[in-house]
Order: sequence, then C-alpha cells, then structure tokens
Amino acid sequence: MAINSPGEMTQKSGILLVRSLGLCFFLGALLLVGSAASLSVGAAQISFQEVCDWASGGGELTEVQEAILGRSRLPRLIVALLVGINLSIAGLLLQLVTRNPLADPGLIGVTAGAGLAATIVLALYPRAASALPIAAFSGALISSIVVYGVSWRPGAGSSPIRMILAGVAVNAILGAVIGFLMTAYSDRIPSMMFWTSGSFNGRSWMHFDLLWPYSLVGVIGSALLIPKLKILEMGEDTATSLGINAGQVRLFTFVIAALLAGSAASVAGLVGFVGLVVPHLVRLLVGRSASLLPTCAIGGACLLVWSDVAARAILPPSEIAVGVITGLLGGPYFVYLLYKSRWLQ
Amino acid sequence: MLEVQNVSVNLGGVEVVRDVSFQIARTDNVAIIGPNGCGKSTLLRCMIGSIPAEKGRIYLHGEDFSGLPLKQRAKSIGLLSQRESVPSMTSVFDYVCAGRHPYRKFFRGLDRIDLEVVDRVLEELDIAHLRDRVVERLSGGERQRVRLATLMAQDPEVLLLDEPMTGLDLCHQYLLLKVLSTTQRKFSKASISVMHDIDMALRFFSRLLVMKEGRIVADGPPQEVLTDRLIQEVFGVCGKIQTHTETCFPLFVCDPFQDQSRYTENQSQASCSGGTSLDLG
Repeated sequence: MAINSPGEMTQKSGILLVRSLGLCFFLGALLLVGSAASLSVGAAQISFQEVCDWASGGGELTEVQEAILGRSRLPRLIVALLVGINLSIAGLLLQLVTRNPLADPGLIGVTAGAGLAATIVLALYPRAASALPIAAFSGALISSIVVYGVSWRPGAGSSPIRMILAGVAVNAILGAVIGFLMTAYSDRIPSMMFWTSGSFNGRSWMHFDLLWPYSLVGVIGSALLIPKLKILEMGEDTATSLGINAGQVRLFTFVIAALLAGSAASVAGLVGFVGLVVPHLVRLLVGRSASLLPTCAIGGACLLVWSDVAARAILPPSEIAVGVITGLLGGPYFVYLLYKSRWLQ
Repeated sequence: MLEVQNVSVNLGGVEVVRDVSFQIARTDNVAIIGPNGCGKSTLLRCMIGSIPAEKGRIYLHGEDFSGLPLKQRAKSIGLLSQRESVPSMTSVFDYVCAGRHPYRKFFRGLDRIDLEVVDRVLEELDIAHLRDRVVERLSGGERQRVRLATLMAQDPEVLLLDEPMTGLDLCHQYLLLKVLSTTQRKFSKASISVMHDIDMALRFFSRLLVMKEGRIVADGPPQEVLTDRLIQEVFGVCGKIQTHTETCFPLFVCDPFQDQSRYTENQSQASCSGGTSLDLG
C-alpha cells in the first residue's frame, strides 16, 4: 500500500493547473499580438505601433485610417476570431461525442453540408441572404447525422476510419452538387473558391451580426454539454447509471456542433482543419480539466487570427485564402495523426 | 425497498430476461449466479434503465423507478458495468469525480463534500497513490478498482456490481468484499453482485439468486439454496459442496468428468454441520 504523501499529490494537480492557466495566458497574449498585427496588415499604411497606440486610447489616426480600421479591419478581425472559436469548439464537441480524434467539421462533411444548403439558398432565393446561417446550420446538421449514422455499427460504435471514409464520400457527393449549382446559376453565385477554401476578405459588421448569436448559443450549449460528454466517454451504461440521458446528450451535441460549424461556414466558407488541430493539441496539454473549453476557444481564435494575418502578409498586395493557410498547417498534422494512430496498424 | 415485478427484457427479438420478480430489502447482500448469457447483466442493465423492460415494472420505495428524474435515479441505483470504455487523457481523480455527477447543481462544480467523498473512496479501495495517474495506462485490476471507486463515490442506495472481481488479485478481491460489507453496514445499503466464484457466493453473501435462461430458478440463503443437484442442472458441471474440515467453510469441489453418484457413499465423512460465514467486519 504505497501511498504518496499528500503534498506530492497536490503538487502534481498544481502543476496541471499552472499548465492550464499558463497555456490560457500564453494563448491570450498571442491573440492580442495577433489582433494588433491583423489590424495593421493591409494595403493602407497603418503601422503596428500606431494600432497599439490607437487601441490603448493614446495615438492619433487620420480620419481615413480610422474608417479603414473601424469599418473594414476590425469587423474582419472579429469575424475571424468568432469563426475560430466556432470551429474549434465544434471540433471539440465532435471529437468527444464520436470518441474519435479525427473528427473535424470539414473532414467529416459537416461544412460541405452547410456549403450545399447555403449554395441552394444563394441560387434559388438570392434575396434571403439573412437566412444563410439557418440554412447552413440545417445542412450541417443533416450531413453530420448522415455521416455518423453511416459510420456507426451496433456494438462497435463509430470507428474513426469509417467516419473519415463516410466523410470523404459525403464531401465528394455534396461537392459535386455544389459544383453543378455553381455552373447552372453562375450569374447568381459569386465563386466556388469561397466554399472550397474560405476567406475573410471583405467581411463586415453585417457578417458579425449574422454570426454572433450562433456563437453565443453554441458556446453556452457546449459549456453545458461538455461535463456530460466527458462522462459519456466512460461508456453508455455507466453514464446512464450516473443519471445521463445518452441519446439526448448525443443529439444536442450534434445540433450544437452543426450550429457552430454551419454558421462559421456561412460567413467564412470552408476553413479546414481548425476543428481538428486545436482541440487535439489542447486535449494533449490540459487533458480533461475544466479549462478545456476556454483554452480551446482561445486557441481556435488565435489560430485563425494569425492565419488571416499570414494570408494577407505572404504575397502582398494579393491575398491568399485563409483556408489555404489552415490547410497547410492542419494537413500535415492530420497525416501525422494518421501515421501514429494505433487503430490503423 | 426495491421491487422487481415480472420484468421481461427483449434484446433483438430474443427474450433475454423472462418474467423475473424479486424484492430487495435494505442491507440485503445478494449474489446472482448463472451460466454465461443467462441474462444476469441484462437484468442489471435493465434495473438502471439502460435498456427498457418489455414487460413488468421496477418499484423503489413503492414508486415507479422509470418515472423518477434521472439524477434521483442515479442516487438510488448505481451500476458497475462490464461494458465500459476508457476515456483518453483522464486522471484517476477526474474519473472518480464523475461519480459525483448526480449531486452536482446546475452550472456548479464539485463542492467540498464531493472532494472529501472522492478522497475517502480512493483511500478505501487502495488507489490513493494512483490519484494523478492516467486511467488508460493502469493495469486491468487497478482500472477495475478505479471503476469501483467511481460507484462508491456515486453512493447509491442499491449497488449493482456486474462481475466486480474481474481482474482483481486475491488481496484486492477480499479488500473489495470488505469495503462492500462495511459500506453496506455503515450506510445500510443493498447490493446485488453478479458472481462467477461459487465459493465466494456461498460464503460472503446473505442471499443467492440463481438464473438460468433468463429466469430465476432459485432464491434464498446460499447454503440452503445451492445444492450439488442445482449446480449440475444450471451449469452442467458435476461436483460436490463440502465443508472444509478445519475451517468449516463450505467449498464446491468440482469434478467435471465424473458421475455424481460416486460421491453419495462418502457423505457421512463430513464432520462439520453447516458452514459459518466469515465475518469480514
């Protein structure tokens, strides 16, 4: 009966707490710097120093500069931030509910479902643009349930590899339909590029207004669901024994994940891998501690804000789609996960 | 306090549990034995509401169990399931804390009482030294004790244990029996355990339910109910329940390749009359 001294045990828990707090602090600082960088990058010359002074209330900017910041760069920054939060939390929820480390809204067809629904709205009812997030949400929900249903086997649950394959199939089918609609209604729909490699170019306060209610509901819903999802991970009987309605929690989780991923896709298009990389790395670092959700949210915001900075800074004056940047970062990480997973050997 | 009334469970067209009825009183210490696939686990899963009963009802303190709120149910009946999965990147402490879920208030974390309970059960089941280890990397027996601790932390009125001895070494098997009996006596709780060890079922339980093909074929004090004949009928294994000469404990001696008639002549040799239960308190 070797029992460690209580001091040693609290020390270990303490280390985990310090690590979570440290990570939050580090990501928060990174996010602040990224935001300032995001505001200063662009065609019009506003230096990093000027942005910092302006943000702290000190510096003087010309009227034109202020207009550029307030009407173009600030909404763009905030939309990127919200999309990052949405996608990483959606990924976290999907990874927890499917017990699948490879679940990502883009990979498993959730985003494509949102894309198709949005394309249909744009093609058939071009005036109903404000209905885009709702349509995207419904499309995302349907495709996520289809993919989960196809990959699920009684007794065995949902295997990661089946889910990825189902996602590939659903992505291919939905992509083909989107392509068809793009050609048939080419006068009404801006560009296919948007859905295949999302972008924040020209995002305004209108997009922010479309997005934030979904983010708010999604974040609150996730905060309520995550403790239950953690228990559901222990097995269905145990969860039931502990007073959790497994079916209900699963359904709500898919709804909330589709809400987050669908609304993000309706304003930014397909920004891949954010929902895969961020929750996975955060889970490696902080485990199941209570800081999982906030760390994930800050991490996702951070990744997208910096990706957006990179998208504008790499090839000025032209702009790379932000989905290209996240794809370049997340794709290799996905390959690495595939390479080291034990269930593929 | 717990009454199972004519419960039948249908799984994929097969009637796995057939018309089962029994009552459990406070502090009852029940073992269920029976061959593989006879519906023991299914019965327990049905009792927590994990699978619906096709027919029949379960009453707790006279109230229909399926009508109670989920958290109320979790405080009343808890199950140590065999069908568990191990969540990734979870410390033993966090895992056992999940047992306190039914006591959590909306949007509140664990309070001081919860933490005290968790620390106490970790100590009782001899896993306090594993507190910060990752559950995935524990051995089978250690993991089993972590799961038992979770059930103890849940602290229900009726404990359902599906093969609780799985993976436990000799020392920890008896530690579990001891923890179970002290908990039961101290907090007056009932327990139902699915057992495969006939000797343990004979000695450490106050009541025995024997199941075969979904039905209860015997119910009563183990040493009255369990006969050589019943064991042969239910398990198809020949053998003899004998009383150990020095300790007077009942033991089942199995002789699967012989005919039972061989033993009847030697019956007079037994010198002790009836076994005595070992008091573990």
